[in-house]
Amino acid sequence: MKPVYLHGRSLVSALGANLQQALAAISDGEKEQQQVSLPGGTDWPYFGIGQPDTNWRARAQHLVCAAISEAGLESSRGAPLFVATSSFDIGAIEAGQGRLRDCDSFAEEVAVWLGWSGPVYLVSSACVSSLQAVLAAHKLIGAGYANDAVVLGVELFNRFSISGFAAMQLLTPGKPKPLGSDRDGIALGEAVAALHLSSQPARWHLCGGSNIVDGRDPTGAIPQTVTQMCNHALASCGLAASDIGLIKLQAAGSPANDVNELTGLAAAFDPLPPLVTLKAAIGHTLGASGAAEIALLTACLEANVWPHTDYPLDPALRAGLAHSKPESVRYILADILGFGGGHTAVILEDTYARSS
Amino acid sequence: MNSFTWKITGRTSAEPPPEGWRDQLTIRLGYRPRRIGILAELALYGALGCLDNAQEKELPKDVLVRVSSSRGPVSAISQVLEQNREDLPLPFSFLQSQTSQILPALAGALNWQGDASVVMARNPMNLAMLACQQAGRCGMLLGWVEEGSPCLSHWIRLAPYTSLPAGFMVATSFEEMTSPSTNHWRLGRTGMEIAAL
Repeated sequence: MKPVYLHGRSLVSALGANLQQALAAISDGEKEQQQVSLPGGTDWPYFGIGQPDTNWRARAQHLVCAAISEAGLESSRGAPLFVATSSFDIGAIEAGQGRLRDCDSFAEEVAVWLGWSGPVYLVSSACVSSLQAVLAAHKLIGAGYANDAVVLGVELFNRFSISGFAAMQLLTPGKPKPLGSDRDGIALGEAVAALHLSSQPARWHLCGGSNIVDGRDPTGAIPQTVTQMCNHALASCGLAASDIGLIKLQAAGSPANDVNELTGLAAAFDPLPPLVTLKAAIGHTLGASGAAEIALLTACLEANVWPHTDYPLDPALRAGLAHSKPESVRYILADILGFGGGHTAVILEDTYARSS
Repeated sequence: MNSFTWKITGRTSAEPPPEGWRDQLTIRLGYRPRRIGILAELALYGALGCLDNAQEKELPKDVLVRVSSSRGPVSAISQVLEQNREDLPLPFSFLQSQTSQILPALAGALNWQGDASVVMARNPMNLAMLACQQAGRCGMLLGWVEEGSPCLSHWIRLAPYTSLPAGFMVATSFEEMTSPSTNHWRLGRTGMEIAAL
């Protein structure tokens, strides 16, 4: 297998129009969440991107093009493109700016916006979509079928997802508190994130990962499967649990799922390495979350910027979030657990940490 | 690069499925599937038929499963859009509107867990090629499922094949790749190649 590197990245999120703004927002502390009112009279917190536009498609095009530009992808448009999303353009349909159509039409539309000439795939496996796309791209490059590939996570405003999660009683009415003692649900968010994967060496080496679908719970994580996911990911990279210096959690503030994740991780890692979650900062961005959180995490590590935790953690979980950037982290495991029984993890190596 | 030659060991092509296919699915499963939605039921119907055709009682855990559905769970999506106009949707309606729900339904019915995902491309040949590039020693189970009109559940089980058949030619269409006379696939220099027995 040829080594695969993270050659470029970008993020448009509630924290700002690019990664630089996101890092500044994390340094400055909390940003106000928006509220979304649903029919039936309920309001829910939401991590929306600013830049409102009455035209959903025009806004989506602007944000997608901005993300591709920030990732430095103007000249790589013949590479395979993986569009990862759980909600497609359902926001436009809600707004009366289009009719329900084939799901892959959205990926084709994105390709037209970008003038993309390479093959276009749409991955829609709910929250794990982006990480599944990263693993697919990793395989393509690693096996020599392509030199570059792009994962584009797109999750933009729609009431469909918010109301669905509200109906399933999964949303918090306040702030999401991953691993918090009084956590009471998740908050959704918007993101457009691009990851440019390449055989050309760069700081972040994408070592490999694991994707396991478990049918026992169609909406949540199974602790034993979390453990298997970690073990498979480590084995695929030729690593031991002790090599991992940081875990980026799925943890979104769910009372049950945070426990399941931590239980599964604790069985794979003894002791647990330092932990971090980014969903208190950008919300759960569903199909885009894998790409969005890898972009943000690697940027945070490079800039020595770290998300604050301003709420008490749950002592029953016996695991805490790292309060500052851990020293000399070489290998990072990043996981996303989602609807559809998805348990997906990737392992990244900071090649700058090799000598230490 | 992946140098496997793949043999088609099982297939189903329900396009459309026969009258009474849901009853047949209930008999095959031993229970009536509940609250998974029509798209997931169609997927189960085709996938189980494909495994029966391949004479496999269980799906090996390292098989790669890829499912494609261009229209997705369109009836559930329409229902949720309608319900959303006045109130929150019903939880099961929302779950059924998520294409990814095919995957746990399949995993549960096949008593299997492993690498599965929902991937779409305008040209199904590209999807077949992507799956061949990703699959390993245990092969793959590929499904194309659509509800509505036309309704279909088309599945192919492929396993690595060690004897190299002669007469490979470049596939020019997905229909050619999935034709009953096609028994082998492999990745060629310029695309997918196919061969008969």
